[in-house]
Amino acid sequence: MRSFIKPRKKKLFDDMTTMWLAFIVLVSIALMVFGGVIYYKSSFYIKMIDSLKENNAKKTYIVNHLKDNISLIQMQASLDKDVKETNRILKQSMKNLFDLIPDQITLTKVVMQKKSLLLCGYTNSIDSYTLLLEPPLKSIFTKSIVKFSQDGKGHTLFESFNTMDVLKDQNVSR
Amino acid sequence: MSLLKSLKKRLVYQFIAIVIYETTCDIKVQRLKNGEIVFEEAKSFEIESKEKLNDTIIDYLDSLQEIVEQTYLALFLNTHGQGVVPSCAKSVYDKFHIDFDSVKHVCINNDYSIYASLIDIKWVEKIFDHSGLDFVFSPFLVLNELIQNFQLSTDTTLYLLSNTNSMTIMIFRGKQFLYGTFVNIAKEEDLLDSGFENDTFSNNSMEDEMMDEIDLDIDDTEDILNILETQSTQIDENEEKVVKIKNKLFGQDLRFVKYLDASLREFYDSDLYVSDFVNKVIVFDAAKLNVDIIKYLEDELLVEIEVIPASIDKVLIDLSKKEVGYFA
Repeated sequence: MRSFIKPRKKKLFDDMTTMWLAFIVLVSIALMVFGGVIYYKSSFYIKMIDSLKENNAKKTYIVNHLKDNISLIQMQASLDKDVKETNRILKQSMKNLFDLIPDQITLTKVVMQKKSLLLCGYTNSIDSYTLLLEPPLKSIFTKSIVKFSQDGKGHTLFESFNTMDVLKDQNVSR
Repeated sequence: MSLLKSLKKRLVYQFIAIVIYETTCDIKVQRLKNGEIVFEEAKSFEIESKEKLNDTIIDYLDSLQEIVEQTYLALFLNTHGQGVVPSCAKSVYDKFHIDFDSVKHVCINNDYSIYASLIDIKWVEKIFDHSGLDFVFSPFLVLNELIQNFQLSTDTTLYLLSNTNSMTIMIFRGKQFLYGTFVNIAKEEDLLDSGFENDTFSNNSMEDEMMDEIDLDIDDTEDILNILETQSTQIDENEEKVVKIKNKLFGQDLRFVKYLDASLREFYDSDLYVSDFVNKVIVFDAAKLNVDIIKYLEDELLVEIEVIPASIDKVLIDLSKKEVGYFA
């Protein structure tokens, strides 16, 4: 400093330019803050969406698993229904069968198959069987073969094998 | 910082140099952009007194400052209340009977200091109260700036800044400052008792000085007599020439010679200064000095005088640039 006085402080820009610059700076700051908020919010939402996607994937997996379970349960229910129906039909058949059996005949063994019926038991006499049981059996089955034998107590044992058709299926239902 | 420097450089800077004389005020304007001069103007306004700037000048300065924000006004201080002392120490000010607290001083190269009275500084600040002022430069600083452009000789050299209404004198021996003074030559001042009117620089004294010098070198009596005769003839011729020129000088030119003479006398006689014979005079002429003065001085002082044209405005602008740190 070689002057006897200090220079006056100079403005870098005139008042109008300063105002404009201040305005631009303020707007820039506001935009930056707004941008920051948007960025923060968007990152928050992105994180939330990721979380929801992950959650959704888990739920979808659970839903698929439940669907599998449902289909299994439905299948089981259907099976159960079928079994119940079959059982009902079988029960009805058994009832019908037992209704056919007269009082003079006592059954010891019944083997009911889809197209055949094996009946073992004893009767008072062969006639009782021939008259009371054989006709209904013959009316139901196409072929009826019966074997008689005597036990030591004076009862007549019989073994009746009835078929509706030619035997193909060996599945036995009881 | 470099960004600010670059920005500053790209902005328009305006430097105004002002020199106030008794009846005129010279203003030079230099406008720079990217280190290049884009506008330059020099105007001279008439003023009623040095005490007050007229409205035309104030309006002109205001209009310039309105155009460019970065405007720096520099004033050439040409008041009496200033000077230079050969040291920066306060004790030296006491030695020169200058009240250190009532002056503003600037130390130059840790060698000498220039000062101006606080009253004078306040006075110029008051003059520029309306338009404002940034720099007030001492004439010694301006002269120092001009001297810096030259290779300082090892001889004792008197540097003189000649302006329209003032002269600034600085004497250096090599780089060592010996003496300095500032004189307003516009009107007769009673500040210096020069004794010029009484022909102090008489032929006798000159003869005596020459004799002294000759005594140092030559012992032979005949040789001395021969030389004295030759010198006497030369002196007679010189005397006629000097008187002839002196008769042509009047007014301000006469005062110029008178005050230079008084200053040299002060330098030689005063115990305050390290006295040494001035071997060379370099005049920085900012006022188209009368050639007769140079001739007269050369004959009177018997030293080589070199005259270099100078512009105070230019130096003031250069100083302002340095102060601001503006480098193209």
